[in-house]
Amino acid sequence: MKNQDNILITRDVRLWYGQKEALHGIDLDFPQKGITALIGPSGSGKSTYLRALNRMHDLEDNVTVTGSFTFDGSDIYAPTTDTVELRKKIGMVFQQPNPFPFSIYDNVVFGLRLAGVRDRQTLDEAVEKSLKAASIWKEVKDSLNKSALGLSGGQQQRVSIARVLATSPELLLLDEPTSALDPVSSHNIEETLMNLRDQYAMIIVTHSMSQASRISDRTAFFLDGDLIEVDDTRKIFLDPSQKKTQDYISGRFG
Amino acid sequence: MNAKLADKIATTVIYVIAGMVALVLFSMLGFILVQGLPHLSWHFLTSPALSFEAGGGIGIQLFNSFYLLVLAMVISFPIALGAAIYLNEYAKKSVWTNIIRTAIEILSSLPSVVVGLFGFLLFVVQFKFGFSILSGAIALSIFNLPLLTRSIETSLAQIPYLQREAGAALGLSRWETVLHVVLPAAVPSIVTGVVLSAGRVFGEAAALIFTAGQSAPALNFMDWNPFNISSPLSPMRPAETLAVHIWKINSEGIMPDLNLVSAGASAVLIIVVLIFNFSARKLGMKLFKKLTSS
Repeated sequence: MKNQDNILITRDVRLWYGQKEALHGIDLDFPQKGITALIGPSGSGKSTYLRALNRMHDLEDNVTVTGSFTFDGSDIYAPTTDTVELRKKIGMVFQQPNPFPFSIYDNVVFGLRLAGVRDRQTLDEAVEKSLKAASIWKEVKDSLNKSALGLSGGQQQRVSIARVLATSPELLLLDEPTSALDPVSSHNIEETLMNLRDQYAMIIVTHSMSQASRISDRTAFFLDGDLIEVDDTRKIFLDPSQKKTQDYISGRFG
Repeated sequence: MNAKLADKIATTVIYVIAGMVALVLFSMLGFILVQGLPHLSWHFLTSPALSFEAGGGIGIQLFNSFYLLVLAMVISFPIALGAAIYLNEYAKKSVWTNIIRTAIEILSSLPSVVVGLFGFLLFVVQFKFGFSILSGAIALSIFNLPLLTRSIETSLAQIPYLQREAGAALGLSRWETVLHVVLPAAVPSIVTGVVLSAGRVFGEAAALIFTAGQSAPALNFMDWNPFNISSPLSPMRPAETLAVHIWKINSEGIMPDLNLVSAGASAVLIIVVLIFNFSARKLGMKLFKKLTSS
């Protein structure tokens, strides 16, 4: 049964910015479905780890990544890996909503068009499906041809999510997707993620412990480039096995 | 002296200084327009210049200015675009890119008369292009290149890094991100920069005096074969432009209505440059609206 397997297995992940080691050997696995939250104070390495998973560090000079990353049975950092294909399977949503300065429609179908899809009906269907999945269809269905930049921050973020969903990823990386948004928009994004948890594997980096406890199935606690503990969210927040985790969630530092 | 009073004085001084700048500018524009506008007529804009009698026009010079402008843009835009994309999207900080940047800066502060003399020695004399549209267009391109590169680079730099990350995260290569995300987003401000630089090129004289020449032989506007020397399109013919014409008749003109021609030509030059400048912003905004909500 494939569903029993983990979609992503990482072993001894180390990452250097120049000479400075920022991740000190992370072992972490992710199941086929559901939300895993990465929590920890600023500078703990949780975002750095997340961005290693779809090779975003490739864009920067001076970053070295080692360790094994097995996604769907294949090695993410193998020289033969096509990052284009990889990033289609591992979608990413950023902290700042970042729709392109095009229409809502063009934003959502961007990835598909680039992959060579030209058939209008296929594109139309993908737009409706993705916007529905991102819980924003009702708000924008009459203004698909308007610029995505005219939307509110929360709506922009959901369009960004729809844009990623349109390329049918298997894993969704979310790098503090609500930290730039107001509470109502954050709530909408959380609802969106909860609705998607049965269909996708998601990894969310969040500063908000209450958010992690509300939406995630599993929680991993990072501190100073180390993974301190990973477990069911309920266990982490009610009865963590590490004292450092206990201190962090009870607000004693960070 | 209390803070409020100091603030008031400072504000007043700043207003006065700004007002003086505006005054100088407007009185200059006003003077040129008031002097020149009455002389403008369809005849003046279309007929050839006369050297010894009154009643000549600026038709050929006007055509030459636009033709040279188009050629200079056709040459300099692709190069400037490529250089700007390289500098902003690809170049890493290194000695090499520092040298390029410094070179561009020096080139952009080079007096245009130096560019003109360089063009004269290299293209007119060495390459034997003669005083010609071709020599002039290349000299104008050299004059235009650094400023255009800088302006396009600034346009590209205004596109947030987030957009490039978003492109990469969707599986775009760097080139695809530039082509499909960064460039479309930057088009409006690139267009604004291009049109503004067109205004500068249109009014340039010094770089052309020694390259495109100071004579405007009669053209046959029925002949559009660029290989005929009397064709308006011929790249090998000498071509005095409007700006050069103004300079020339003021220094050695002998036609009786010299002051009127000079004033009229100056007014036309100013008006064209003003149209470029005003339309640049409008065009940029229009394009942005069109591109972002199609």
